[in-house]
Amino acid sequence: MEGRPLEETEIVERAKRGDVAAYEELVRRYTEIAFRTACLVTGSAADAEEVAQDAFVKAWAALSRFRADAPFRPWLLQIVGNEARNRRRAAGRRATMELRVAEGLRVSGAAPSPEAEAEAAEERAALLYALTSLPDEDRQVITCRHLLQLSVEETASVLGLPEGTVKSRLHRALGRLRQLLEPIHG
Amino acid sequence: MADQMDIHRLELRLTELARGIEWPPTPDLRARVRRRIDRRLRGGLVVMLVAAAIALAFGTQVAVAHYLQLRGATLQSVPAVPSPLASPTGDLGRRYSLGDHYDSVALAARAAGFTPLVPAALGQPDDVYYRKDGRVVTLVYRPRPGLPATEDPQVGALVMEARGQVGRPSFGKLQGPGTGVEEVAVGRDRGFWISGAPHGFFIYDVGNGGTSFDSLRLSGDALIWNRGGLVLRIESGLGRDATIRLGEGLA
Repeated sequence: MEGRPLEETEIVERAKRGDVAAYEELVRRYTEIAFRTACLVTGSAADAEEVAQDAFVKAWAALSRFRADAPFRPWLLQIVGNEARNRRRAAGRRATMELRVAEGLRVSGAAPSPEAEAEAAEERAALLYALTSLPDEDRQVITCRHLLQLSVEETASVLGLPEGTVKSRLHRALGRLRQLLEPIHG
Repeated sequence: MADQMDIHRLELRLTELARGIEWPPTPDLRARVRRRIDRRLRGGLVVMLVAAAIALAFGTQVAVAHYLQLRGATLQSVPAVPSPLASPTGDLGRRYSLGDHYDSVALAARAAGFTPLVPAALGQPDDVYYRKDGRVVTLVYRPRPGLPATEDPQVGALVMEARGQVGRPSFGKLQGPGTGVEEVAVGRDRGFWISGAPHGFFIYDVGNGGTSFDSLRLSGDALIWNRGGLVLRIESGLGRDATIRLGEGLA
């Protein structure tokens, strides 16, 4: 995994010394990934907002135990994952985040023809539909790894699984996803 | 087309999809996180300010040499335990600054907003008090066979209970020379047995974050610990092991 910019090391060190403004900068940087990760696990934007907030406060309280030269993001995401899974368990529901694709998305470099664009949009919709049709644990591991683009280590932390389980589950889930897509494209 | 789609191509398609996902708008959490951190910092500060306030109020050279916090209680090591300003007179509730008298545990529970635990071995208390500023419920047991009097001939045991909140203590203890503090297990919970020379005991004003100086008194041997959401304290003349057993039997 890529190294952490030196600037962040300094920010973390300042936060560890009790500089709340420095910690606010970390909150600003990582709110998006913390919130989206919590959305994925809790299945609710309202719960995710609470979870992300609680996780940042708990991370602050635990900063003295955090090694300043370690990457902050995986550590934070582990706290987010714990909080989110607890929240989901306490709520006793199995909500699933409804994901959408932005309209007018163009992913290729060159301007595609209207037909190609329509076909690409259709394929994206089919892929998303297939993804949301997967069992919960398959969908979560694919979403963490590929839609949130978390590392295997981060995915394991968020889902509370060993890294080996993440890898094997991911492999199996992608196989199932491919199977679901076959009839659509066949 | 999809027949040839291998896992690698599928992963590429997912990566493309990731760029187009519409997530719910990300909230700005900075102000809310800041407020909560500030509250935590103020909680810690209040505890230290209270120690300083005690020093000023009692005119002693109190310095905090050691500091240990349970949820809902503080324990500070001081070179000399300050003496109470005056010994209150009157009934037991007044002498111990226990607050208002209630006719039953249930009525005190309603006032306190939590259900106090009662020691199974002793049953219902002889008196129940609730002190509003410290949010402390006290169950008073008079001496009886099997429950010797403490240094106060009218008291066999005091069981004091409050919500155990981090940064918002209800009980404060001052450990001077000659007072021992021993970490003990109360069932599955960690607690402290404070014994030897009498120690200072006072009740914080939870609502205002200050301390109720009138509540400072010298206490005999006591057990203090957290269970669930409560901070509990038993003062008795039973000795360590029997007091721990009494604590384990709270229900």
